[in-house]
Amino acid sequence: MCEVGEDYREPAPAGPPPPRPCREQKCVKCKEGLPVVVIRAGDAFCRDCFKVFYVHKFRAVLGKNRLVFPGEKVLLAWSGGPSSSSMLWQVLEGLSQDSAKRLRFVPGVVFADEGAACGQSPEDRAKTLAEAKLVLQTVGFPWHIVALEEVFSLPPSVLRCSAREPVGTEGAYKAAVDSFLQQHHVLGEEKQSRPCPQHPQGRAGPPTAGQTEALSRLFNSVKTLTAKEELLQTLRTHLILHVARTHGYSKVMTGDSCTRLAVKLMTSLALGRGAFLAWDTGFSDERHGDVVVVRPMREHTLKEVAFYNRLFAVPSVFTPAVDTKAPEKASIHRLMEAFILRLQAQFPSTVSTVYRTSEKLVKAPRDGCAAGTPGPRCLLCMCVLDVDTADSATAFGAQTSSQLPQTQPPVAEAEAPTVSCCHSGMGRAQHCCRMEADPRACDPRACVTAQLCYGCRVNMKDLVSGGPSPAREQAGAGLGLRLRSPGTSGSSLLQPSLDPLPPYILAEAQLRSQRAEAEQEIQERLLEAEDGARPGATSAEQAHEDGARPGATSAEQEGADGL
Amino acid sequence: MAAPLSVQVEFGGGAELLFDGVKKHQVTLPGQEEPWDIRNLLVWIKKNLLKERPELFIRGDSVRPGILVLINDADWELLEAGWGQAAPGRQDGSPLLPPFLLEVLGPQCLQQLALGK
Repeated sequence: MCEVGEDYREPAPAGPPPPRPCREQKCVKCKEGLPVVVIRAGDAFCRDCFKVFYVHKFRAVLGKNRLVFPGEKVLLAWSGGPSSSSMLWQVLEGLSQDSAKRLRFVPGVVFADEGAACGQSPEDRAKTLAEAKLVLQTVGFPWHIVALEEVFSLPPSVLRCSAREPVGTEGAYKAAVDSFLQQHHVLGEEKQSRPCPQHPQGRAGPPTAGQTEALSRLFNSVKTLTAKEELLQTLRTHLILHVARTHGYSKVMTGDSCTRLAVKLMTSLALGRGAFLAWDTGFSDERHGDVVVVRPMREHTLKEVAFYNRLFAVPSVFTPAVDTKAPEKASIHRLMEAFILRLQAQFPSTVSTVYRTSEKLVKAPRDGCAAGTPGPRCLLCMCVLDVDTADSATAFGAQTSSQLPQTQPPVAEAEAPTVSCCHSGMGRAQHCCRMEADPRACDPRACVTAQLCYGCRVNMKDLVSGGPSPAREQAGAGLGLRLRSPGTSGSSLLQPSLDPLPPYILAEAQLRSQRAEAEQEIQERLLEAEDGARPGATSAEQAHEDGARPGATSAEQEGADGL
Repeated sequence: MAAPLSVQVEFGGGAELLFDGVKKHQVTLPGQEEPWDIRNLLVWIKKNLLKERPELFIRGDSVRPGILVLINDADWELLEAGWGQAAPGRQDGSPLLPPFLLEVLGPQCLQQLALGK
């Protein structure tokens, strides 16, 4: 493939020159410049045309989707790597252009320090942070550096989907732009300078050793690299979401490139997240409600990003990840990445084909859901639950029944009603651990698992590995949360433990299951009351029953709100 | 018989992890029978500079998919397609002439997915 020399060893041609590729080719676009990079399959661009092409793509993606309103606060999720650094630079350049083409939102930057999860030493982490700060100061936007350890102090509200204002229509976007421009003219150029006072937000302070240790313990308790990567992603998303909510950002921009999204699409399919592909890989992701995640780099391939950064000196900070230097089969993510990249090397349209397929995915509401009332959401990934309890032929059915032989006898009692009593659809999915006896006797692990989507459940299996009982008690105490465990002392050595998980997840899980149980109880009591009235029902009683229903609904509401 | 060739090799984007973290290497390729070309150079790098995990860098005759190579600040695929101008100063019939900068970027494979890097 790279025998550079061999094209040029021919003897001087006697007749007309042989039809080999001409050495004097120019850029395909301007026909003048010296080509420096090959984009797609065989288009060579010169430096200037490449820059125009690259910047245009970025602006076009933002402009086409019309989701980022002028003056809106947007949080840029910067990981230090090439794609997000490129995104940062594009925003920087876009904001400083002349007014007609200027980007019009108010940016901030968040950098998540994940060194503890990747096993970096404190010195390396400090070095990376110092490099990151340098770049952030150059860029000049308000920045927030958060350490992944801060997930241990997140509130459970981060897992709740907040109601959002309805997205503006086309007309609303145009109107917003027009009014913004009008204001701009009235106030004059000077006042509308780059909206970034030099106030770096900094960070709350380095994480405590205890938190770092808790985080290491969490990641070390994960059995597979796949689950580790998924967990890291989940925690990072929650953390960034929290930062966005705290500081009033309504959008988060992430630097997922075309290549990464193609890999992510295939990986998600392999992980059982096929139902959520449109949210995971689309341009916008509104699952959190008030904060929308946007992916403006999704049309740039990694090669374009790398070349742009190299040619135009975009600063980036290399941070090792959990799977740095891992062999190819270490995790599903790595395997998919290797597969796609290898295929791309031979068939240069692979990534763009996968990308175009992902563009066609539509976010449709789940069948059976009443319009406007979304079903329950996954505890971790916050997508609408895709499990159908009535369908025992699916993988979910197989999974639930497979839990029976693996759990201890007291827990099996809690599990057994799951399969048999939950018929009536998704709403019951959270009630499976309800027992006639004390509701807290249900296995906490089953409670959490019941609130997860299929993909997250599969990860949870790898996540929750056994640990020695005394350390578990300590960990539970340290995190300020005591969970009743059903195992007897003899067998608790192998009991899967949820304790390493950050407390906000466990707290929210418990809250949701309690709420679900309360709703269930109220429902059943109402049914009993109705059944009691049923024998010998006359039309008067029928009317009474019907009259009772709306009242029942409001009582239910009150009960639920009271929680 | 090729004369010794002085080459500057740079690694970035995570590739330097395989070379003890050293990004810039100024090397002198020894004189040898065959002229130096990219393939020989890669083999030489693998033998002399690479410190660990050859499978993450080289695959068969070439670099692992995902790794980008620049020659004198231009895409090496330009050479493959016959866009000879990518290596200015080169003459017809001879593979590599100084000044020569080989830069290896990536592998992006070593970096992490999602929330893009």
